[in-house]
Amino acid sequence: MELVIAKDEFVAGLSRVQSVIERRTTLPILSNVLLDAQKGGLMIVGTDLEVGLKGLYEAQVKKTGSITVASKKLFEIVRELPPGEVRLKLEDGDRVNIQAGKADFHILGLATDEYPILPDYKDEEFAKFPAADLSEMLEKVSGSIGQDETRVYLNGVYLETSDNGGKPVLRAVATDGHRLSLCERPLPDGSKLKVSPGVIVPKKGVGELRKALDGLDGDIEIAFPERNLVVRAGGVLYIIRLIDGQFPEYGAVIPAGNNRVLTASRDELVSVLRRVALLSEELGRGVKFSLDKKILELSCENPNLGKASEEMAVTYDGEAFEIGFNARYFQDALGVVRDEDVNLAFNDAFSPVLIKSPSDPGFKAVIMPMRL
Amino acid sequence: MINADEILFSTIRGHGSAVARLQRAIEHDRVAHAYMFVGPNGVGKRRCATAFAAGLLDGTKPEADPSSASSRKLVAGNHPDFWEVRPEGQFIKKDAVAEMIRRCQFAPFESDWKVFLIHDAHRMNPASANALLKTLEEPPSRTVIVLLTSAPQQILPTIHSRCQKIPFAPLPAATVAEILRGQGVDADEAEALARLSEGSVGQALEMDEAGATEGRKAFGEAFFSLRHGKDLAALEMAKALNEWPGGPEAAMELMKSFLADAVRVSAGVNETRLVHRDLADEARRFAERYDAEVLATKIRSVTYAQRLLQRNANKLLTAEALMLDVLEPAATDFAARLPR
Repeated sequence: MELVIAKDEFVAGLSRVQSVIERRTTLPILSNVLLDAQKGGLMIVGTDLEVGLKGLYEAQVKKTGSITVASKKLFEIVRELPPGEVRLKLEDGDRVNIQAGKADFHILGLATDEYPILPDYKDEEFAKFPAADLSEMLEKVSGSIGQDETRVYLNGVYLETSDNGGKPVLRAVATDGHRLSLCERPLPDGSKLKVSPGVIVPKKGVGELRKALDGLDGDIEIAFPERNLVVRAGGVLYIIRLIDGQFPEYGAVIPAGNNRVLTASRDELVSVLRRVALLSEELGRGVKFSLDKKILELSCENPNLGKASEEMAVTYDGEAFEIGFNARYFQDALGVVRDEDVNLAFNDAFSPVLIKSPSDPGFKAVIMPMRL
Repeated sequence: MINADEILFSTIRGHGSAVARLQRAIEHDRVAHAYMFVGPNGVGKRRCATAFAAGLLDGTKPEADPSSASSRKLVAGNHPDFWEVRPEGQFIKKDAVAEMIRRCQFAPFESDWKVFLIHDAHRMNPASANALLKTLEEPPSRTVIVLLTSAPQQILPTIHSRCQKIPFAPLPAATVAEILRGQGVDADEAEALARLSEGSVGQALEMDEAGATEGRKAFGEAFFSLRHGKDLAALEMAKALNEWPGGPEAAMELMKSFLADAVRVSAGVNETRLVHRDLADEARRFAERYDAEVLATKIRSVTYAQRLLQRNANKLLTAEALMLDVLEPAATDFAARLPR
């Protein structure tokens, strides 16, 4: 391995993998970054076994080859090098020689064959999808991701391609058993993207992906090679290991016959909820919703603190009834909706509510009621 | 760390049926989700589990190829599909089990399987055991969990019932001696250690390091010459116990083996089956002075003294009290005689 790379390019590549390479690693080799000099440039790879990052950076490669080097130390060294070009050369005994200006380092590395084998994928498996759409879908459902160690299949976002009234869509679903969020976007015309049955992307992978998609325009590319989700975005490849499990039949949870529809100003509902919920119990965060013609009253009683209530004007002409909810679930769901007004569709006091966003027909949130 | 030769079934001595069962399971694609390897410490459970893991990880082969990438990663502690859980201090903490369960949720990284090894599984505290139970109830696919234990009775029955049990018997003394000689232990010493260790290579090596065989014969002669009324000799011996190179507990272990030999002699067991064959005459003379039942209570006294030492009792005082107790011609209740 022998190559010349611009310092800034090298620093950018190394800094990108730092985030996935954990400090506290369990396998010694995971604290190393893999440097692979290929014909097309320098491939920089890092992984914590859950999320892997692979990026190809511009370099003049004189001799191909690869080595792994302690990631943090290498990053520190390269960052401090004088500006200009950096020369990398593999020496005998798995040492790497790093030269820039008059600075000369000889760093001990570890042979590549002990590095975990990242999954293989083929270029033709990739399908295009708008980055902004995927980013928004993940943002809108992330709040409902479960955290229960015993139900690991809920601790992620379920991604599947499906059909909505004859139009193919990519759908993201998350649920913790008390609430569910779903967001779907149509596939680009003629797209060959297909994940059915769907896959569960773990919470950490969702987080890394959201970071990667942030502010990205245009299309990214997605593939689902066995056991993994691979996303090509902004010149970098994100390889996310999937949760091995069965996501629940979420379709049955989404109420179909909720016809008591209430329309309220989102901002007002959020601030009223926030005020009233100040008196709710730490754990349940229970707030009572009392619906009547054109009026929604939120109230809360706490034996240790006292009680609070507030009315707001809404559009509603169904029967009067009361129902309780966890205020935080409501705040989370309303927090990702961008409309002025939201629709809340109820059935009765014991059935879940369906929250819809008029501007985004692809979004649905379902919250289970609680007994107060 | 795993030694390079520990990943092969072919280097395992004894345990033919356990090895055959595991290799058959791999060959016939009938690998269970959870195994419990049950047997005394130091007989080869971990080694067998490592060889099993190596085979599973290296393309589901009944014997791993030591030069494959998978095997080299396993030996270097860099295999992404292999994870070990060990006690921290007294217990296997819940966090350690939770981390294992978290790793269970992913599909194997590069192998057909992911393999988890729980060392000293009986050291799981109730919270850890319950957390593990849920995973054993709904085992993730392509996952093998191996529990190693020398004290299966301390493990929840609900965990037992979800594991395939593989017994590991103590190794024959000849096998232990052979392994010890292979590791450079002197032939005579290997012979004595093999009989002392009750079929455990691990224990034999530990005893070897603790210098158990050095002075064994002299210690045995002195012990077997004890008789009622020889209090001074007993107190001398207590001092020797206290200054024993491997610590008083190890010396007491040796003492138990002398007493056990005395019991064997008085029960008419053939001399060739004694632990200390070279002290057979001394053991016989000692046994003539005490009833077999009395000898049994003395073994209990020694065990009790060892337990006291584990609880940080004063070493010399405990040794002295024990030795005076051993002199008694009748059955004694050592525990009851001690101040609370």
